[in-house]
Amino acid sequence: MDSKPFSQLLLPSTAPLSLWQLLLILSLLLLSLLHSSSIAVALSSTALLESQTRALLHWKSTLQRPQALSSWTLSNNTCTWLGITCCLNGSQAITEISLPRAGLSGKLDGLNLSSFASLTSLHLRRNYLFGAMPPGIGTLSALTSLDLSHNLLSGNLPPSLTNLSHVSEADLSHNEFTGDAAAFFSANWTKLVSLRLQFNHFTGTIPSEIRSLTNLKILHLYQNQISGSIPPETGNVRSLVSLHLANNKLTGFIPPALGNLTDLRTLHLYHNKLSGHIPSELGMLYRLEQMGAHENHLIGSIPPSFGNLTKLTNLQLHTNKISGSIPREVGNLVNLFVLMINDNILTGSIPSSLGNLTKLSTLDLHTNRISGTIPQPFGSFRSLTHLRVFGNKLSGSLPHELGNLTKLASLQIADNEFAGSLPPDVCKGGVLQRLVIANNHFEGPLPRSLKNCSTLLRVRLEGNRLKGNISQDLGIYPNLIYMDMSYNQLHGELSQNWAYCQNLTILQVSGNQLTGKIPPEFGKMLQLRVLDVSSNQLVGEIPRKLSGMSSLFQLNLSCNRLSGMMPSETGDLSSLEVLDLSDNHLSGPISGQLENLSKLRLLDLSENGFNGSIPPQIGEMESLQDLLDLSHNCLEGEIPSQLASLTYLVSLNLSHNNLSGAMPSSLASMISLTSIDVSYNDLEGPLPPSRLFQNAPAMWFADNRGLCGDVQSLPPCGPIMENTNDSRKHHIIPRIAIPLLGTFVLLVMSIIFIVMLCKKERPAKEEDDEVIIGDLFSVLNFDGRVAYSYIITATENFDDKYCIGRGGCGSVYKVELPTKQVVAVKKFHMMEEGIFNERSFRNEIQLKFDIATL
Amino acid sequence: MASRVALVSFLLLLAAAPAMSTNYEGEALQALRARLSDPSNALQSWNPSLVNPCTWFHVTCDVRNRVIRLDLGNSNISGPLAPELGRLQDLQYLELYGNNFEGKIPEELGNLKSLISMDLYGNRLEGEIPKSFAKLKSLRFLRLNNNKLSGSIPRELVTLSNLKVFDVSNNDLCGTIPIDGPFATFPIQSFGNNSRLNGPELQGPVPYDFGC
Repeated sequence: MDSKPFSQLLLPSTAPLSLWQLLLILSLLLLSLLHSSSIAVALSSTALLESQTRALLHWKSTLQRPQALSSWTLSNNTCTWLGITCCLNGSQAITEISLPRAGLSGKLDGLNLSSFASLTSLHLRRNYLFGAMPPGIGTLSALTSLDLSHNLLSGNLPPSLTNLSHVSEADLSHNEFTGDAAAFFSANWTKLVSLRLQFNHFTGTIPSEIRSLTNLKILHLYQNQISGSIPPETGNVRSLVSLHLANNKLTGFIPPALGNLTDLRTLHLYHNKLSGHIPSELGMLYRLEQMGAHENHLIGSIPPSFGNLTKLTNLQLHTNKISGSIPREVGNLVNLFVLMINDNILTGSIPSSLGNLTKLSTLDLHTNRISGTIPQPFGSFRSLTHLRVFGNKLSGSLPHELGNLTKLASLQIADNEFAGSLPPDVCKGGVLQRLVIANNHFEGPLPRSLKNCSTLLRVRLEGNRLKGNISQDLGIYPNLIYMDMSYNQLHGELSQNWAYCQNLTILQVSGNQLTGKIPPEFGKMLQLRVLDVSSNQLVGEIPRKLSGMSSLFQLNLSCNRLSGMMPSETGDLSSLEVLDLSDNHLSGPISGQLENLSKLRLLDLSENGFNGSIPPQIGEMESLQDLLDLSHNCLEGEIPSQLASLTYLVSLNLSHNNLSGAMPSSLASMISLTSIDVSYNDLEGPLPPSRLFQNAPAMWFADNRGLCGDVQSLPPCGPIMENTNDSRKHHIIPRIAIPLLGTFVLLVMSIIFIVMLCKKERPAKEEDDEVIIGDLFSVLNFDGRVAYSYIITATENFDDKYCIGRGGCGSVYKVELPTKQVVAVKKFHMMEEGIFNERSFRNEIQLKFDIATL
Repeated sequence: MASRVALVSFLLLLAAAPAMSTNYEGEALQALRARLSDPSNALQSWNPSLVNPCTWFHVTCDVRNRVIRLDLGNSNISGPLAPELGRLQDLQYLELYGNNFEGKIPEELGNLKSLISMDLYGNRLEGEIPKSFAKLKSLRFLRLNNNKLSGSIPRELVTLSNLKVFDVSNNDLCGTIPIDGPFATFPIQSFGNNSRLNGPELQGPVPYDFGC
């Protein structure tokens, strides 16, 4: 700290005195001689600057990084210090402290403000000041401008703040202040023109005293914790130009009185908990340029009076519960470039008047219940960048002029009822990133501009009827992250070009008509997480090099015609969680070091031609949880006891193989198992002593050589299988059961006899019907249409409640016919095009027959 | 002043730019992610600007775009479980096994009224099994084994009539094992390796002794 006497500072010797200053000093001296009280004035003035200087130097000594304040020394006149302004009249006091972005770090309450009554402006924005507001702030009675924004200040505001009745601009935004902000709305602050408190932690409510702030133009309270409702008295502050209350906890209605604020340019109420209707009075705010009331609980409809807000450039009402249709008056808002009314419950159609909104850059109508078509003029919105109308009930075809939009970056229209073909030039502008048209009824070719559309990031075409050859119509997309073309009518082969889409994380082409082989180059896709090419007509072997896809966690190659052995490198796909190779022509032993797949939770190898025995190493795949399905193969030998280690496994299917021997008793320790199917094998001996089997359905064990146990439908185990203690109990059962069974057979035969007698007495015509129904599925009487109509009736048009299983290629329904026959019917996913895997169909026929005979 | 207002308007325009953000369920998942360490980038695809979380990896939705599965087993994730997970009202499978989740199990997970399977095994979870789990009436699989859970097995869980698998082995639980409801069928190995767990509770008029 400098130790020079303050008297030296008061008359700086370095600068030559101006005539005016000289006169001032002379006159002061003269006056002091004449009147002793004048000396007191001069001295007090000197003392004031002295004490202000002392306060500033003390504050400087508390700051951590005062490099910017190098001029703040006693060797310099205080009034020449950086950021300090003194008044030029005789009173010698500091009037302004202005140190924005000065890198100051330290506590603001180290600055004693009690001697700064002359201060008119305190600007310390964008420093690193922390701690509370200095208590002396209430003594700054001359203050007109206060800017402490973008610091780290905290704590509650001192009550003395209400004394600052001359402040016209106050900015405490972007700090950590807490407590009630009501002090600012005191009746004393009538000169306030702008109040910025955004990005703090203020709580409390907006008091009705706001009405006295009759000069307020800017009120920014957004991003705080302010609760309560917006006082209707806000409508008295006619001077308001910008009212920003977003991101708080405001409740209640939007006061209609806000309609009085006819100078308002900006009104942001978004992300609160406001409820009720949008007042039509807001339509009087004819100077309004921006309005955001999104993310509230608003109901009712969009007031047609909004059509008066012709200066609006940005209107956001999304994520509310607004209903009704879009008023055609919205078409008057010709200056709009952002219109977001998505995530509401809007109905009706898009008014054709919206075709006037030619400046639109973002049009967001998604997730509503809007029907009808997209107005033709949308295709002439030259500035349109984002068109998002997904999740509605829109129909008709897209205006092909959409292809002329050179700025279109996202076209997201999924989950509607659109039909027709896609605009061929949709990527003509060369900026398209998101093309999301999934789950519509689009048909026709892939847009020709897609081939060279290298800007694409996300493409979702799934669930349409698009045709085209994907190896010819698509190119290389270096930025592409997400690609789903499933469930279309695409053909062609999987191109090795996909390997050059180095950012691709998901590739789904399931349910198309792809042919050819899987390119070995796919192994180069290091970012790929999901590869689903199921339900196509792919042939050839699974390339060994696929094991290079080190990030892959889901691989689905099911329902194809892949052949050959499972590559031994399969176990190298160490991230794999789901592996589905079912319904192919794979053969040879189950190999591939599958036990290395330490994250695998689902393994489906069913409906192939795998032979040999079940490798005991499968028991090491301890993460198997959802499903282990080896059914419908040619596996033989015994069930390895090591399977018992799969203690998290829920579902195990080994049915339709040639497995023999006994079921290992260790399987009883598979405590998570809730379903097991070992039917159609050559198993024999007792079931493992597991609780799982206590109420097990018969079909789990059907058609084996000689399984026995305490399960309905299975014979009890004989004495050889049982120890002597249990044998007595089990012997009793056949002794009772055999006579009972005989009685039952007799009874059934009697009933059949009686029924036949009754039938004979019925009229002939009815009998004909009966015959047709009775022999519905016999080869001689089969009538597909009749059978189909019965199936439709019995399943209530394939209602989910009759679905008893789903495979990769179709769903199986339980059908109870009028004859009380119960049959299983498989409905194929791609039935309408008549393309399904013939082999799998034959397998299924066999399965259906098996179930029907149970 | 007018120029200042114009400038402010311009800045607000930037602030109000049409950024899309994910929905309520996506926010809940982002709240989970925010506190996690994810060195293997299992959550890399969780892009908060997507309208819902249904195309994020390891998240599965139903046809109404509601989250029904969260599959993050063996994903090398560490950090606490977020209470916000309790907002996923349609969640059926919560598979977070084999990670390094730590801290307590949030009682809010008891709000997952559609839950069929909760697999939190193989983590570092501590504290008690929340009593709120008694609200999970659809629950069939509850596997909390291989953690550091303490306290007793909440008696309220005997009301979970659909519970098929209950595994709390390898924890630090104490007290006795319930015998009512579904607990009548769980094998003893589901309770193994809890050094202070004292076997099945006694029946009869003797008041239940937690012994903890």
